[in-house]
Amino acid sequence: MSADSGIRDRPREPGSETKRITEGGERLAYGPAPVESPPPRTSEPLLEVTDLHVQFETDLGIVRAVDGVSYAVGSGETLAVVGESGSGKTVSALSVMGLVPPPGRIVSGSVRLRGQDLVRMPEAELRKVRGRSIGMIFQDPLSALNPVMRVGRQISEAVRIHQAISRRRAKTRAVELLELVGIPNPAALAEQYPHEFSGGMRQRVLIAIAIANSPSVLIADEPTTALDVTIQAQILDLLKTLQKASGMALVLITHDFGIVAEQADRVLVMYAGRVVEYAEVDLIYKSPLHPYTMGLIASVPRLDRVATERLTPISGHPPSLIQVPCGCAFHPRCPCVRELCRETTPSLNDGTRASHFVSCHFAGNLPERSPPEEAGGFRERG
Amino acid sequence: MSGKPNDLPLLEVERLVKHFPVGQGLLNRRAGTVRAVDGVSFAIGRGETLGLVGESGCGKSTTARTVLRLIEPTSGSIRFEGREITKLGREELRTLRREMQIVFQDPYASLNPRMTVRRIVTEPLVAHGLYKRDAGRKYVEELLQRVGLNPEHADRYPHQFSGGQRQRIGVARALALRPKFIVCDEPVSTLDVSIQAQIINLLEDLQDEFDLTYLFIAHDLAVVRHISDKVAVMYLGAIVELADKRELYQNPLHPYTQALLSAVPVPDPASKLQSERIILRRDPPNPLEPPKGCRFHPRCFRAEEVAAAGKEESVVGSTGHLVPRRCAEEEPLLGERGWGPSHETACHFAEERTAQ
Repeated sequence: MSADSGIRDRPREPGSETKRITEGGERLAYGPAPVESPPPRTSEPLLEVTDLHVQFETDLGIVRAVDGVSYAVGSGETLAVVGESGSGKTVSALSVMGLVPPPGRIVSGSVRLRGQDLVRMPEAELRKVRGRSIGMIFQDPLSALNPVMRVGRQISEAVRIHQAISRRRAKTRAVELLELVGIPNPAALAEQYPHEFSGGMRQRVLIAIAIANSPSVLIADEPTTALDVTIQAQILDLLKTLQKASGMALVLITHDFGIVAEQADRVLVMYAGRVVEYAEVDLIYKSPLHPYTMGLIASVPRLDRVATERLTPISGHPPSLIQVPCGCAFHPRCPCVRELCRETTPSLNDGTRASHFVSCHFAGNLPERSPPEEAGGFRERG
Repeated sequence: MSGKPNDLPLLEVERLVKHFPVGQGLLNRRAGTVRAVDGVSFAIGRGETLGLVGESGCGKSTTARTVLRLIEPTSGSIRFEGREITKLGREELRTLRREMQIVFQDPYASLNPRMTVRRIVTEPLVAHGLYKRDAGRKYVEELLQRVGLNPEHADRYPHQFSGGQRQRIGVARALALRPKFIVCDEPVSTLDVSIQAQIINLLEDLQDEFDLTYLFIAHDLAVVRHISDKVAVMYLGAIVELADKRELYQNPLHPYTQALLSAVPVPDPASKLQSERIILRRDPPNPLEPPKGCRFHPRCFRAEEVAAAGKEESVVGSTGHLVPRRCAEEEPLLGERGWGPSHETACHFAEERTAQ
């Protein structure tokens, strides 16, 4: 559906795309691989990240940006990676593409695309995968485009890198792609430069580039954070439509639980480089098990609820990755913290129910809230 | 001073206009005018919060800065405590600034990295000649404590603080002169979600404690609903709807407000609201060439519905769609339509709201 035919009140079919996928029983088979033993699978996932560790060696110490992350995405599925700044969500996405900037490097773990390990793949081969089998959309659409190259040319370039077709064919393809992502008058606009485009249109161009070679996996890193809500709605709608048409797997990185609820089949919540919770989207909202997930969902004012007098923030602030608190990294901010949490790092386990992974010592039977440290929920550390 | 100062709104803005000339090319020929603020009127009562929402480029920040006279208005009137401030001279304006402060969006850019927190918070006091050595030191420390910072950290630099803490520093600076009115320009939009609620709660507590009046600018409609008493929705330089909070959110009259509200993703996978999404066509128009007639008509779904119903005289609009002639030619003004004085909207067909 192009944006220009987007009319209000278009009812989504009951049990729309996301539902249909989540309700299939076999899908429950993809859990994240817990560190000890990965669960058996009925079918091979498209993209499988296993126990990924990414470190940055800095003058101040080693930053463990990604510290043992595992997940799997199947064809047509959407996995949302949720977390705050510095939680490692972007770095984990970049490592899938083999794009971790120095001094960062993948220390261990694997990223398998249809069983092929991308981490151990030589750069020359990886280049053939990048942009062809895996597409990526970045947060800031202006800085991701070349300002001195016509938009159409940027798209046809992406096509010609991976496909042996003539300039003219590639140009036609670029115009088709622009039309597909809902740019009005695509033939004329293909001749323009990025600065002549609005933010929403630029993001459409980036999407056109990312899907130019019909990738089987699309990684979208905060694709709508820089955009206004009405444009965000257009872009999210576009992603859904494209995904439905092509069966592409989508890894959607975001901090917005509203977007997660609407787009995702499964959710991976990250905190300080680690996965704290991983489950079906419905479970995450209905019965979150990790206090951080609960806190995040509870702290945001919501339009679908009666206005409350007061918001319930999470106290403190996200930790520096150079000095991650010992024990459970969330313990200094956790309302239910106990002695055990300060000492022992919890591992990611399948919680009280099937395929609901959580890394909390007290998941499912949280102790009562510890007395708050200070009114206003503020605490200075370090 | 009038006999009953409390009956008077603290701030009254009338037909405020700010046009920016736009130059082009080497010789900087005048290429056009951006009508960033194009006839905006509102009033804020004492202790009230007016939320100003709209998308980027709609003129909400320009409005706020013009109200503070950080930007000179092109025309219009701004009355603070009943006193016209658009004509004030330099010195009078300086005195006035004690009463009006601002908290900026980006706590990374709005604090001088070479100043300690103490100096940042002290600066407004010094600038107004109010800083006395010992008492001042103590005052600043109390202030830091009040906004939730450790006074022992007063001699640290901004980079030693996280985003949320920096925003607390920004709040302390705004509060230092004990102003009556604070503009909060997207104060939480760059903060992590878990921190946003802390700052919002802080702003609310301070409002109660110091009897503050806020003009709260944000693009997050849920945040605005939480903190505001009244809400104004801006589109392309004009307020298209202005109402009490409850009215606006329960009963949006302007099609743009409806689209905006429906576009907010609902954090509940089981929500029915998702299926009622209004997806607007096209992008906002170029502010250099705003549409004639109603500024929203090229993106308006209601205009098309009304035209399609055939009861109104319709014309082919600039986008090639059939729209009512009034929408294409006549600018609707705020206050002409709506449900009483507490709910105004600038739409010719406000009554045509399709029942959900």
